[in-house]
Amino acid sequence: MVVARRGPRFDPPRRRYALITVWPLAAMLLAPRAFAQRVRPLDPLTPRETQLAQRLARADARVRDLIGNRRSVTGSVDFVALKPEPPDSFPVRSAVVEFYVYDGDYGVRALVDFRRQAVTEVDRIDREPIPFATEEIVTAKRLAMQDTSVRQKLGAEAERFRVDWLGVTARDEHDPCFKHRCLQLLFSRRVRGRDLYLTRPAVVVDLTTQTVRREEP
Amino acid sequence: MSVARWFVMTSASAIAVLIAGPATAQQLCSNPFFVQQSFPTAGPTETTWRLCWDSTPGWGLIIRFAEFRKSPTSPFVRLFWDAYVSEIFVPYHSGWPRYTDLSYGFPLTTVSTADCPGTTGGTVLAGKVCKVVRDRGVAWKKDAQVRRGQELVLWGAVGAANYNYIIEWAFRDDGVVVGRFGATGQNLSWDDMDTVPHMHNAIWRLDIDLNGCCPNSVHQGIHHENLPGLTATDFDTIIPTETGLEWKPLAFHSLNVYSPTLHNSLGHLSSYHLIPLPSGVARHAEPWTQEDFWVTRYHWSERRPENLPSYISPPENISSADIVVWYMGSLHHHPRDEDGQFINVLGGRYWYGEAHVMWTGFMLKPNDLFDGTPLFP
Repeated sequence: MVVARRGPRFDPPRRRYALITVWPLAAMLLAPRAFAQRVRPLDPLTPRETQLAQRLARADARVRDLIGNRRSVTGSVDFVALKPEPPDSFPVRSAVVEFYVYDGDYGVRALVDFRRQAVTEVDRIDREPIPFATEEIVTAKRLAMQDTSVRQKLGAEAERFRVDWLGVTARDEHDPCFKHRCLQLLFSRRVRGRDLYLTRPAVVVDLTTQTVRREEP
Repeated sequence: MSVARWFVMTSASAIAVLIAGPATAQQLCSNPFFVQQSFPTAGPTETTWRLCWDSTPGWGLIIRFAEFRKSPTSPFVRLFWDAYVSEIFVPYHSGWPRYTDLSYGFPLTTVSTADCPGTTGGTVLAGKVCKVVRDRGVAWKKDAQVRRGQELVLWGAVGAANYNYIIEWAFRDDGVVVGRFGATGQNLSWDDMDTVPHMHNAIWRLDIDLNGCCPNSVHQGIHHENLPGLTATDFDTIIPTETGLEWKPLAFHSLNVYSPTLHNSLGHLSSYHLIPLPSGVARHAEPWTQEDFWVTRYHWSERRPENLPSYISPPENISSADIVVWYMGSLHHHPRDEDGQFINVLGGRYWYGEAHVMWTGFMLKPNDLFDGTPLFP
């Protein structure tokens, strides 16, 4: 506004300066939506950050050392706000990437600091659950639906069932899922306007061995 | 003003606005993750809460940076760095299965206006969290003189296959926080598991940074009846090192968190008291279920409870430190006909019914934070 009033008295170079400096200010004032999209310190991870965290973690030498050539999966990428130093400054925007390693039944955790664009800590995780990855759920459902005995149990309308899942935490060393990555599947369909669970079949998918087990009394 | 000087000043302003981080805590997260609520909702403001929330799969509904202001002229006082349910552990009486439902990675399920109607003060946030601002009943009463209280409630439900777990946080106008955990859903139907009793244990991880980080100290509140005498004594004993603690109902145990930098105008040290609201106490074979409370020194990687015994071994000093408190609340679910029954339709046997919500939780209550009775004329 000031520039506009004084504009006529500006010589051409001054006008150029004015345009150069006023443009960003005007853009900021006129496009609040664009600035509102700036990620704030405690906002959830953006898809770009999630991808970056996975990429940095997978590429880290310590992570590669711990995983080696063993089959693994990215279990989760979570946002973590680390406490800053000094304490009254802004939280340190970070991500925790957790991998599950099938051969050995353990996890690997990497801390990614977005400010430094680097992996700052790597740990092996034992006796702590690692979340299931979407790809594992997809695999479990595919294996189950390819299993002849499961399909027979579900009948001709097998495809109409919604498949839910629960993790299996086995404490008994005689349990086939002991130290394995297992999912239990539940089959439901809409009946009388409600999603109801079918009693049978009881299906456990062992993702470590890629096998399907039907558990019947 | 010379052109060069004007250019430098305006450019500097623009750059400052562009690169500056948030100036205050209230701007640490964007909408709809930022929530600020003043009370009462009508008339002059007395107290205010502000916080951020998040809903990462596998972590339920997370509260971050919750701050309370006891009067319009007081500064905001931080309570939580973050707070969340860190695990939902569901062991069946038959010994198997033993689910760790939260860490499997389930996200919050959808919430709609059916769950969260505007007519009851509800607003749906991001399609998965319900924000409710509501009357909470009588705050105090003396005959005809009475004051009703209000609260801000945020809740979401973890969709864990056949079950939904409701994680609810209530921030009251008197500075109290109530954390609740509710279980509802369809009984496990396969293998005739529908009749097998089980427990739903929620383990809260509360990273309390009272008046900012740090240091804080944690005391154990203990009540003792001097039987067979008529007197009783209360103790407030500092917990010097990391430990797990049993909650004893006869002792009215509480965990009292202090900050040396927080006093009220009477010069009294302010604290927040963690008070369980249980229907019972559960113990299972898993070592981390052998205590109700745990107090640990903050380490970012200590997020799940399964390794709690190793977190406190060897025990670190917490007498003036960045502390985290953990509390396990338990729901004992003994199946009943009201949960549902089997029906035979479409050539199959299905479970028909839903177990209604059961609740457990805790209260975090300010002590000597206010200078007198809050919400009092």
